[in-house]
Parts: sequence; C-alpha cells; structure tokens
Amino acid sequence: MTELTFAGPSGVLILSAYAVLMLLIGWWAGRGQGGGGRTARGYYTAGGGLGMVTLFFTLYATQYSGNSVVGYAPQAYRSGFLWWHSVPFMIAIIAVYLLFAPRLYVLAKQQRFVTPTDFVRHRFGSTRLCLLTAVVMLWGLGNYVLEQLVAMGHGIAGLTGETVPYEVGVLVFVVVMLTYSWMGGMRAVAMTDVMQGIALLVGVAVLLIGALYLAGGGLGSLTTYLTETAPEKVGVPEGSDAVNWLAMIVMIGFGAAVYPHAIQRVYAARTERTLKRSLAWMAWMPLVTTGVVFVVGLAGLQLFPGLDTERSEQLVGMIANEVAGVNLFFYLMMILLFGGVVAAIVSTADSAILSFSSIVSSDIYGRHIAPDAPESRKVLVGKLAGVAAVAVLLLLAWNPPGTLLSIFVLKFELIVQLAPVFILGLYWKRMAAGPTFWGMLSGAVVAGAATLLGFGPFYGVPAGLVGLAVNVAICVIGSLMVGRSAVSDDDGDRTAATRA
Amino acid sequence: MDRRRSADPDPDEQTGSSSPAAPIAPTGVDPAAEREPIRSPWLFAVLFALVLVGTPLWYPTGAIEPLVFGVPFWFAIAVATTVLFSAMCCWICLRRWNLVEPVEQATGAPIGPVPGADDAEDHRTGGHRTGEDVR
Repeated sequence: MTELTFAGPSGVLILSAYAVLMLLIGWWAGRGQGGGGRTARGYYTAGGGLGMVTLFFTLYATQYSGNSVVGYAPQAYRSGFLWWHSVPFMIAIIAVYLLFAPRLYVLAKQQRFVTPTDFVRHRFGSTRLCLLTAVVMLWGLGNYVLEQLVAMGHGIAGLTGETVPYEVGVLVFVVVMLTYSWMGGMRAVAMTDVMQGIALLVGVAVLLIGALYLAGGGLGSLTTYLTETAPEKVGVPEGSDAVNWLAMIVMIGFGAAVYPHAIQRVYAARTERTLKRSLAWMAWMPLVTTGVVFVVGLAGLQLFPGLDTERSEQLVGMIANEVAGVNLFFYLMMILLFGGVVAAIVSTADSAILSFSSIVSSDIYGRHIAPDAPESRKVLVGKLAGVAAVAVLLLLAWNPPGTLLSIFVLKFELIVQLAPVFILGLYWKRMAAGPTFWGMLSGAVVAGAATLLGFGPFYGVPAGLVGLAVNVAICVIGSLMVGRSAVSDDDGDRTAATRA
Repeated sequence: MDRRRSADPDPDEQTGSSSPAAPIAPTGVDPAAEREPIRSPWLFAVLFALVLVGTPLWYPTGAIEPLVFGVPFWFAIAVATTVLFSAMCCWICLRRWNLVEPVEQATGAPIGPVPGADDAEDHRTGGHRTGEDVR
C-alpha cells in the first residue's frame, strides 16, 4: 500500500500524541487515588465510586473493542445485510444485564464484592466452584486480551499503511497500557475510557459521512448497487444464517454481560441511579456504533469491490485513508478516528487485564496462597500477574490464529458458560453448588472441544450455545435431584438452602 | 450475612415465583415501591418477541423486494425491531428498576455494607467507609 494519508511520520506522530495523552490521564487518575489504590476494592473497582459519565464511557469503551470497528466492517463487507445482527446482539447485552445487574449491584454494595467470584463464594460457598469460575474467567479474559493485541497490531499497521510494523505497534501500546493501569487501576482505566470513547464515537460518525460521500449516496443507492452486483448480500439469508442470527444474539447477549470486567463495572457504579442511567444510554450505543460500522462496511463493497478475506481485513484503514484525502476537515477527523480505533482496542484490553489481575490477586493469591498477606501485596501480585499474562499473550499475538472473528467466537464459547451461575444463582434458591460445578465444566468442555475439533456450528447454532444447553440441563436437573436440604459434596459445599 | 427479609412481604410471592436465592439485606426502601425487571417476566417476553420478529427466519431465501425506504423489506423490519429493542431496554432501565435509589438519593451516598461483609478494608478502618468509597 503506497500513497497512504497516514503513512510516514504523521501516523507515528498521531499515535505518539494519543499514547502521551493516555499516560497523562492515567498518571492524573492514579495521583488522585491516595491510599485507595493500595486496596483491592480501591484499585480494581475504584472504590465503587464511578459517576455516570465515567461509568457510561467505561462501559462503552470496554464493550466496543477495536474488533467492533476493525473487525466488524470487513464482516459487513463479506456478509452484506446479514451483518445487521451485530446491532441487536450488542443491545442484547443490555437486556441480559437487566436480568441480573439490579440485584447484583445491591448485593455488591452490601457485601463489598471486588471480583465476580466474590458473588459465587457468597452464594454457593463452594471452593471448587469458585476455582472453576476463576479458571473459566481467566481463560476467557486471556482470549479476549489476545484478540485485542492482534487487533492492535492489525489496526496500527493497517491505518499507517504498515509504516508502523505490527510488532512495534503492539509492543508500544502494551507498555503504555500497562503503565497507566499500574498507576491508577480502575480509576485510570475508566478515565482514559472517557477520552477513548469520545474519540471512537466522533471518528466513527465522520467515517460514515465520508464513506457515504465517497460511495455517492445512502443505504438506498447501496442497495441498488448491491442488487446488481451481489444480490446474495442483499436478499433474505439462508435458513442456517437466520438461525445463526438469533443464536449469536443469545450467545453474545449472555456471554458479554457476564464477562468479569462487565460485572466489575456493576460493582464500580457509585449509585443505582448512576448504573441504570449509564445502561439506558448504552442501550442506544449499538445503533450509533456497530450500526454505523455496518453501513461503512457496505460502502466498502462499492469503494473497494472484490477484496478477498485477508485484504478485506484492512478495509477500515483503506476507507479511512480515502476519506482523509477528501479535504482538511475529513483528514483531521480521520486522525481522531485513527486514534479512536487504537484507543478502543487499548481500552478494552486494559479492562480485561485489570479484571485478570483482580482474579489472580483476590481469588487465587489472596484466597488460597497467602490469605494473610497485606492488601497492598495482594494488589502488587495482581499487577505482576497482569504483566506476566500480557508477556505470554504477546508471544501468541506475533503469530495470530485466524481472522479476528474466529478468536472472538472462541472466547464467547467459553465465557457464556458463566451465565447460569450468575443469573440462575441470583434467583433460584434450589440451585446447588455440585450440579452447578459439573454443569459449567461440562458446558466448557463441550463448547471448547467442539470448537477445537472443528465441529459446528450446528445449522447456525454455535458450539457455545450447545455447551450452554448442556450446562443449564445439568445445573437444573442436578439441583432438582440434590434437593433443597442436601449438603452437596465432599469439599464442604453448602447449598443456598442450608446457608439460609 | 444471608439475612432474609422475614419482616417484609416477599415481593416475589406477588408473581408466584420462589424467593430469591441471593437475598439482599433490608435496604430501607418501601417494598411496595421496589421495582426489579426480573419480577415482571412479560418485559423479557416482549424483548424476546422483538428479537424473534426481527430475525429473518420468516421469509423466502433470497427475497429482496418489496423495497421499503429503498432497502429490502426484511432488512427494514429488522432495523425497526432493533430500534424498538433499544427503546424498550432504555425504558426498563429508567422506569422498571428501582431497588435502592430512594435511599441513596435521600442519604446522598451509596448503600453501605451489611455487618460481616467480607472486606479487608473494614478490618483496617473499623468497618467505616473511606473517602474513596463515595467519591
């Protein structure tokens, strides 16, 4: 790729400016924390004190990763109108939040939860269920961070026309991210998310205007063009694709809502009003983010017809460079988008790493290895574990497996297995620890094995949902068989009924 | 830790479902004023119905026409149901969720921990909340 607008020193300059800004915000946020940054609750959930604006933007920037822009536009390019389901599946996350967040928020304040596993411990009192929950979360978060690192490299290399090589881009921004996360924990992550979220929102909106300007019209003219050139991308999708539409809404709705960093943002809300207003705004964000990216991807079909899968992965960079060439205003706005895409990737990765650190710090080290260690040491161990995990994942990111979407689906296959323990666990008092443990384990094994062995999707239904069905069946049937008064298993688990 | 609200009428009994497995401790909010989305299952039935209607399962494969506002009819239906899906989620957040807000608004602070809540900070601060908690 030559003659790219962002190639050369200007691309490096823009990236450097964003990196410095993130570091400054992180330093400022960490400075304002005082002693709170040395406690697990202060460092990992900002002491449960995030206000509405900060909470909204941290929910937004965390939920909309770099993949939502860099990966979804190529998906729309390849799938056509079918990719609209990326909008309802992001709204479904808010619908699933409504199933459990109201009660979980109150419990989190009353019981001073720090990690999602704190709820599982409070509800079931089972060591092995807590450990399995922590392992599934760590595995899911590992996949999630890996995806962000790969997206970071693709985004930076693509948007600078490979002036900044993939490896250099990843390495520099990982160091920036770890530095500000180390300094300020959740508060720094959330405050950088405000900047990152605004840059992404404005940049994506201008990208849409620019792409439609270059394509010469709106969705109507795109429909006419596609009907003539690629009618299969406009017509009603096949049965299995339609089933997959519905299945992805269910899987991503349940999977993304129970992500550890998503749950920790429920804990971090300052008040119930803060939380519900932030989620009310979040309900509209899919329309102005994944909806807009969807249209940009379709416009790409007209602007750059005939790209293969690998070339189409660079679509956002290619469109952004074309848009930036229109005039000075679009050039400046594409600079904002360029930083916003990188920032969105960084903001999603930092939240996942922080959550990873909190689980190692509180659920593994603080609970099983050194329960008597001072709080500050537990936090330090969590920080070091986060750095170590990123180092390992960086090695994997040098040789990224498959396209971005394949990594995305793999992580949801596993993480969605956490949904029953949180949602059923909150409301169904007969749910027992033993069947919940075996259900989660079976669901993860079925989903993971099917994905690794290349089985599925089954007529559009991803293996993760098949695993979830197995998971729920074992939880429900097992809990009914165990009965209300039983003490569940050999490690001293207690059912909710015996606790009550 | 798991104190049940024995003195209060169980709101779940009003919908015929079992009482919650992870009960919240008394918050001081009048139970009659409490609103929790899960206690109204019809809300989620409507949400699911919107998703189902918007899923292109119901039309012949490959159909494009009639066009509605220049786009295929099935896509126009999907967009309309998606907007309603967003609107309903927003409405539930703002109008059907009210567990502790009156108490928090009255005191100007989030609800506090119950006695015995598991937190290392409590041991150091004698159970009192720190400035960081309410910032």
